[in-house]
Amino acid sequence: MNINSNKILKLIYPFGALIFAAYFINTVLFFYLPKTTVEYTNVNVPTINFTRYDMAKPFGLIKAKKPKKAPVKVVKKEEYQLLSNLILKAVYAKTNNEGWIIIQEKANSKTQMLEKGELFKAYKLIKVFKKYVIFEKNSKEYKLSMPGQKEEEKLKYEVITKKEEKTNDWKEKISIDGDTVKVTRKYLNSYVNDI
Amino acid sequence: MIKFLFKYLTYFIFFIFCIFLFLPKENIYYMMEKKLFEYKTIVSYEKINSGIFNFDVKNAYIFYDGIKFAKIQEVKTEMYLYEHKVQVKNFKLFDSFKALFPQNINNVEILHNVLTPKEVTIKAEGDFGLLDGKVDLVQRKLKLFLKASSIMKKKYKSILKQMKLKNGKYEYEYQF
Repeated sequence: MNINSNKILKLIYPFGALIFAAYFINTVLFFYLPKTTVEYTNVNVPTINFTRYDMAKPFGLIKAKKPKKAPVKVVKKEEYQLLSNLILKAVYAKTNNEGWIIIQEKANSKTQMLEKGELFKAYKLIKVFKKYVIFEKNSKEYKLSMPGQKEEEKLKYEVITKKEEKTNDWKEKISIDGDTVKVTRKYLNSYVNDI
Repeated sequence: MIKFLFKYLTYFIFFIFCIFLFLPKENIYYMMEKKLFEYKTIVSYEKINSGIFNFDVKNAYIFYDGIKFAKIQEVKTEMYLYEHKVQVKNFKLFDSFKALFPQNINNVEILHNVLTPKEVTIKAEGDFGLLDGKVDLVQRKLKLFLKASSIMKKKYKSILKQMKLKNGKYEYEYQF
């Protein structure tokens, strides 16, 4: 084993010595050779900062132009449209138009709970009814109703009072249908008769 | 005896290989630049790429006496055990020198072979035509043979006048 390793060392040794010799020669050469390059620099180019100065203006030879003012852009803030952007999801109404409501914004589906007197984007919740709520802004009132809610049902009823034969009393018939009220002619005539 | 010779020849080749391997090529290039500077010539703005057996210079501008003289696209140097080669590609003179010398040199090849150690061969091709020549390193003599192009014969007669015309080729000799 020792004999073999000695043979290998004998074989490698001259090569190692040659590497070292070559490295040494080149190192000496490296110290002798210049380390920096020669680069062209244009010395004729002036390095003084150039400032443009108008001589005519200070002596009034040319009327100085007023600097134009850049037009100020007025960005109009869009007013929040309450009725078109909100959905009334739930109402918890108490007596005296008080209570809480849950509203949802159409744009981002965010829900928010409001109590009477609270503000939502400068709109104040002032009244809470069972099926709708009233907001106020700049002394204007805005009504927000529950979705799918029909118009208030029309009032419709009849009042009939028959004339008794014995007492010769009058017969009364009043029919109410929403805003219209019908009264029978006979009934009206009885008033005329009385006069 | 042959074994002995082979052994030392191997050592020698290995030593040369190691010399090339560790050679400070960039510093040698800087030394050449400084030598050129003595002749008012500066090589500037170039990109250097140094390998084990090659050394490349790209996009070099040559200034002579502070005037932009020429641009070289690429100079390739290859150093092998048996051969050294320098190749210059696309050497272009700036317009101000167009009247004095032909503007474009497409390719220049300088070769030094181990088999002919005394000689360096030169081959070039460009607007001037075809050029080949030899440098005798022992006698320190440069000999060039030019097969002039029609442009060279028309526009640069003054250069051709400095050469001897032999067998349709213009001959130029310089002792350094």
